[in-house]
Amino acid sequence: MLKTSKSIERAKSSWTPINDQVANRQLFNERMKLLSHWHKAWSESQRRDFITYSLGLCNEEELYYTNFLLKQVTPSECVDFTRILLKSLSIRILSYLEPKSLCRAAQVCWYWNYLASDNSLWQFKCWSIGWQADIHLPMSVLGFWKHFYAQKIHELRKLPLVENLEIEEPPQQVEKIETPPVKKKTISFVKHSTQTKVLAWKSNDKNARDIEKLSKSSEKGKILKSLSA
Amino acid sequence: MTEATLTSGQIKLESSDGETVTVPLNVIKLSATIKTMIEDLGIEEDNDDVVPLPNVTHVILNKVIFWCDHHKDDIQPSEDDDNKEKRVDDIDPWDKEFLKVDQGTLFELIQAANYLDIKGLLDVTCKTVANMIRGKTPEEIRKTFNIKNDFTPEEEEQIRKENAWCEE
Repeated sequence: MLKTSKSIERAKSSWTPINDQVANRQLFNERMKLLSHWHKAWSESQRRDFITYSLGLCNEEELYYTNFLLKQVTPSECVDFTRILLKSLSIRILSYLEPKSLCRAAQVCWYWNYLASDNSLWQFKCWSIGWQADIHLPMSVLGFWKHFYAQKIHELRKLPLVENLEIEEPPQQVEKIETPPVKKKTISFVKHSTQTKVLAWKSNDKNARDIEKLSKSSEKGKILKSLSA
Repeated sequence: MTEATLTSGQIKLESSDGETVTVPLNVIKLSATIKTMIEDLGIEEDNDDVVPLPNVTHVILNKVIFWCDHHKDDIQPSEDDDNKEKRVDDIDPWDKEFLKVDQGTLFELIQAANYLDIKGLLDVTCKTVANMIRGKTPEEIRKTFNIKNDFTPEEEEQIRKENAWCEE
């Protein structure tokens, strides 16, 4: 009785015995063996063609499974390039980032913080805007140019908007001191004849959020906009 | 070696894993390193001399040659371009397709482009990595490159505050 039903199934597909689990498994194994035999005989490009073809037959779930397998075989998929590449190359990569992305990169880990604070990156950004630091300042100190850039941005944000001059706070409210010729050991920046006591990179500075408006006209808006351009 | 040979002849390169590849000189001339090697070693056309490349595997070398072949007629970027404001939105569509590779390969390409001194390839590969960073939060960057956060919570907060000016 069982035999007849099996033979009927076989009749529909002479190659695959649908109902006979054991025979099915055996046949599948034989075909896999045959395939691996062919695979050995193929050239590299034929193998690639085969992979491409097989992947084309896969549904989404099977592709996810393939991806899962690949990640186990080639864990190189997610690699911290700063650990592989020369420092100069990592810096070169970071040089393509705008300030906002650089600041976020600095928050990834210590080494990234060190790289993203590199003076060459920020010095280039300052110079391309035309911001020059006073020659007496400790320009080679790590992070100097980043701080300098932040300071300049802070000053830009404080500048009154041309359209809203009358509602802007009078400048004398900001505590100002005369430019000292040579200052204490702390990093400070010269801004023409006067400078503010508040250092912009000190994020607990309450004044930093006072003026959030961006100038619609003028270079100020352009530079501020370029922060995240 | 004359400029004429540089445009017509071929040269053999040996990868770090011992494979020899024959490349037309007008293709590999994009590599300043190889160009200098040829000139300094005085390798002649159809010579059996092989230039060893101990830092480049054959898989990467083939990819580099493929890239050079596509770009052999491009106008070469000058050194001055380094001083210009850097653009990242100008990646050639062909290059974009070419660089759809896993991170390991991408970083190996950067190393090879640096070693072989192929400015165009170095630029486009570095830009591609930069684009993988751009617009991501620190946590997303960590995930993208499998980076361990080695800040203590206090340090992390401190660094976040130090960089807050850029988020305003």
